[in-house]
Amino acid sequence: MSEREQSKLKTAKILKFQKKYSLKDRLSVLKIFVEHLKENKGNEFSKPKRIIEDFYSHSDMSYDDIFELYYRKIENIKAGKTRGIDDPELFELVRDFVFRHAPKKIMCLSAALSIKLIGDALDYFFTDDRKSTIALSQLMRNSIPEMKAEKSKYITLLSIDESAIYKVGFSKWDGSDNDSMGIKKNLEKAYPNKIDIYLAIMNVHDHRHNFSILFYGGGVTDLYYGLNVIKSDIFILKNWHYGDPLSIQYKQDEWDREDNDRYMLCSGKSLTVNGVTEITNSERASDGFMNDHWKYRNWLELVKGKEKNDALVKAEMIFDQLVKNRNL
Amino acid sequence: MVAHKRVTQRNEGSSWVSPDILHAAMVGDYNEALAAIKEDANCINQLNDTHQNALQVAIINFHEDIAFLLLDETDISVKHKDALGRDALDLALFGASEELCERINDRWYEEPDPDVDSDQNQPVIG
Repeated sequence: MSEREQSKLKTAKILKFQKKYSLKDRLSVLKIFVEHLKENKGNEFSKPKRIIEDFYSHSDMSYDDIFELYYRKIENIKAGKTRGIDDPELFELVRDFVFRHAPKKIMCLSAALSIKLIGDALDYFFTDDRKSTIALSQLMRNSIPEMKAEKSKYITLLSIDESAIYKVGFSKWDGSDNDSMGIKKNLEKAYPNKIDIYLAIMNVHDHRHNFSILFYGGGVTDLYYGLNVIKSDIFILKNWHYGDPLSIQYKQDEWDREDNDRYMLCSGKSLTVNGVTEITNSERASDGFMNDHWKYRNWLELVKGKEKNDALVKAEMIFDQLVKNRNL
Repeated sequence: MVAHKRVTQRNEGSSWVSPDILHAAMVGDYNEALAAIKEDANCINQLNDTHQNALQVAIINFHEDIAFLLLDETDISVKHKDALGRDALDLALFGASEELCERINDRWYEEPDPDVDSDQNQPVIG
């Protein structure tokens, strides 16, 4: 291979690497690596020689090559003299190291890497037989009748790429919206701008999950982020500010079978948003022991009109901040 | 959720009686942030209910102009950890622009490590 061809190949490799891992992805992994080494200062395992051994035992490269290429680099990274984010092979080794030795710190990764990781972890809990029998290509081709039937079992929510955004609605359990107890009005009075809760979904080119956010109309302090697990019709989210977990399950609204845009929320774990509203298990709402708040049923509905534009702008802004180039 | 409680009173209208750096970072009030810094340089040490300083509050609320102001005009810590163990760089890498990430990243490697035994690094919420 000529020198020019080699150079071209190297450039292509680096470009591919940069496309796969954004600058934020790389900085976040390196930060965790450096922090881990600092926390284990004086420990035998944090010495460059031991790190090289660790790299070697999880790599196809020869020990001599790894030592020659990376010993000095690791010393420099440890000392903060270099960031070590531009070398594809080194980055992969460091990333692998971080995932094995500092799993508790992976919550501090960039949004894109975190979402990928959460998605993979969730897959363990939501695996079913269909996963092994239906390939993505088959689903997309959608040519076999049985496949169509399988696919239709799941509710496909629209994404922000289709200019769609959902709002969490509240109405009386009996289906009326007259709010005779005045709870909703009181909530709106006490918490102006807090009662509008929006859910937005972004496709991440993964047939298992979509990246999702939940936020309030009045501000973005209360932001939840996470995944919409497609084959389980559930959202698994986490509050960015406080770290609280949240799950919301949804199903076709039995009251509004004709309305395809409305879905009942029937979360197993109740969602307490700001102490203001609760999304509860709908099956339990008929229970005589429930208080007035629980007599409200909750649903997801597509937002329309001017409200839609405002909510979309906010959702786009949040998605852009979290995953600017959408390289998920 | 426990909202950040303001200690100072605000005038009806657009001005404040006493500028509050945490409030400014939360709502994105650039002028209030500037006034708070000028009035008391130590305001950068104030923490909110989740143990975040003004830089962390600005990042988590997507107010990057306030974040850049704090980085330009003060020595606010980029290594201070909140109640969930996240410093400003962690928050920025998750939800800020690459430009802000790079600025904070550079400061992160320059700033000495905080004293881990300091009371300031103890979580205040359960």
